[in-house]
Amino acid sequence: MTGVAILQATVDGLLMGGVYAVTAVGLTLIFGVMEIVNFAHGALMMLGMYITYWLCTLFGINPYLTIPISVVVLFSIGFLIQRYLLNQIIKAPQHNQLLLTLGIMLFIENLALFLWTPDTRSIQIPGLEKSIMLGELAINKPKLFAFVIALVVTVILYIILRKTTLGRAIRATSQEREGACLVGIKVRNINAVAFGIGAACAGVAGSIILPFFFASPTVGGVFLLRSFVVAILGGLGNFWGALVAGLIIGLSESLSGLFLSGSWNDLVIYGIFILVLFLRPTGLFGGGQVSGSH
Amino acid sequence: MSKPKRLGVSILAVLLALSIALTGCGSKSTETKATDSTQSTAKEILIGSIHPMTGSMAYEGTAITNAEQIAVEAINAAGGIKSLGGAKIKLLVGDSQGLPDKAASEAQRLIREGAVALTGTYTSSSAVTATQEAEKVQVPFVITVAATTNIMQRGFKYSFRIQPNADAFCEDFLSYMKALKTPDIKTVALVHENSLFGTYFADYVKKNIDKAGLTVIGTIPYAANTGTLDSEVTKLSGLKPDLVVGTGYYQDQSLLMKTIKSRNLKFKGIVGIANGAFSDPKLIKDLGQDAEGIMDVNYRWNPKNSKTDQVLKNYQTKFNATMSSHAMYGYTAIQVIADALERAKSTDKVQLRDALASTNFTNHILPQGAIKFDDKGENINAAAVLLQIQNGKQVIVYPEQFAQAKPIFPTPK
Repeated sequence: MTGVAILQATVDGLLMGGVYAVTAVGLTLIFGVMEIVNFAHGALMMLGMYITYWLCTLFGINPYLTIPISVVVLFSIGFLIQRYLLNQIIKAPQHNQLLLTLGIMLFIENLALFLWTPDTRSIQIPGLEKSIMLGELAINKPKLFAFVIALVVTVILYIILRKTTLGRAIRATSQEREGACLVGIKVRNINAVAFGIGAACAGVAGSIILPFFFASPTVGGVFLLRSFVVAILGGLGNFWGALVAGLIIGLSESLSGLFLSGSWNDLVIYGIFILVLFLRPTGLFGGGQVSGSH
Repeated sequence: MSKPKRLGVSILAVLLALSIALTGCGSKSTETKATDSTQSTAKEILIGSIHPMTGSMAYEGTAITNAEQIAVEAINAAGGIKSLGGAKIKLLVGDSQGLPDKAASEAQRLIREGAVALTGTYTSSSAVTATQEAEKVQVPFVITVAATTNIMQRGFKYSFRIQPNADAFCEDFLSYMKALKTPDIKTVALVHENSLFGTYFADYVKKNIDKAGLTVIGTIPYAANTGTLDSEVTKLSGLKPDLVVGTGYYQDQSLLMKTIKSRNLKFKGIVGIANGAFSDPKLIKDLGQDAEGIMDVNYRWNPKNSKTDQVLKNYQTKFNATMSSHAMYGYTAIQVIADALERAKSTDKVQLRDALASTNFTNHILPQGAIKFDDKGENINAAAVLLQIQNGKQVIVYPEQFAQAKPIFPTPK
């Protein structure tokens, strides 16, 4: 392997890692606050993709400018799902809630299949097709933007959680639900808001992935398992953890693809996953509650 | 939670669980009549179709089923099966979801509902299981699309395949490359998806590459459902092969092309074998100018046959899309079954099977002579052609008798 190839794989891995991080950040938030494993996360990301696709194709809007719309729409969908579906069974055993999110995923995916056909969709933005060349090193532009936006999203989430009253309420609810209730926090609404934020993150992920990938009703499945691995590896509830874990997973995938072969990627990723959990069962930065700190 | 609310929630949970369980158990066919007889009535003959209508391959499966529908309508409009009193054909649409076990259960279901013959399945792994079910109860099965050679090597008497099998594809690839390559083209890198489909093709080509006078300098497998092919393309740029040869499905191979083009990598040729993306018109929409020059050894309709245009136009009008090459086999499979029904003068499974085995059908739109089946059920005249994307369209460039344009090979500097 030449030095350039290794450098290329490192860059690719880090960029992709940022993408994995942003898909995991929403998951980790939802789990941290409500201890719900959200199987519908990939499907919500798919919706974000389609929103960007339709706005871009029908109205010619730059895909990155559709992110705010994606955020608003997915936040609303997430809020409604939590408030009127998941909230009903919040006191039920974990596996019931899990099953419900699975059902929601199936519903959303098949609704998408019905509305938009199984066609894979992609967008072409002139100027974004070619990579930036630094000598022999190619930096993929859409992935670079995705990486930057991933960082921005993580920072924004940090600010919300640490510096705002809402953030404090969310953290309180995740630490001690009954206590939060006692001090007057409307836990039901907080849960819905947190789920909404998580869904909005999925929406952002979808919007920034579309420029370099494809949208299809089942595209959520491509990223869902990686998101879970990244979220758990980083410690459920900790989104700096999700960022770091995303980079680790992205790098592992990229380097194993270079030195071994693509077929080994999953083996390597899950191997690392199992190893880390063996040494630190709560994940790299885990503590079981929503936290913006290391 | 109050009692009535708890009851309501429990009912909701049970309904959701049921719907999950039911979607997992195979889908409702879109056109099924409740019949309590186990035979097709004399006035209506049921033919089953088993393809992925949901899941990641729904796009291709739906296209094939659409083409079958057009064939059914054309045959019915021309008077149905005349030797059976003008009986009309009706298509029973099954959904394999792309899964072999679902394909098998759909086969069982369609047979139960009265199908006299089955078609399917798009993936080789589903074809293995579905044909097995049909063979158990001696129902003829005409494979629309499924490439691997092993499917037809189990001694089954009721399975027939129209498309060229994997070995035929690879042999065509090797002989076309031998005929067309220039002296400066010497090395090949194979980039293939790592399930049975891609691996079989890659292994065969590697083993027989001498026939084309080339050498394989790298084999790069990947998982079809991957989100990135960056490392694979990095490997390619390190290997610097003359030809990149790709085998895979639409999503992964088009991602491969996107990645190669985004890095501005140039090769003397990019050639697919039975490539799920390179022969699909959607690739041109997805890649735009970057799709120019990409070649594929694949099956295609015969552009020199006057009937082809009519079929393409029908498809375009009814479904607002260009018919794909996979779909063409859906159309042809129905034609072959109808022809066999005419000659069998009966829907009895043994007689229908015998009629299929003695098929000598020329009224098709494939780039080959008559459709005839050998003792294994393979179409002896099946052939693939070499396609290339030129000026925003896929055209046949070889063999010359079907060619619409000259090949641009190697890629001009």
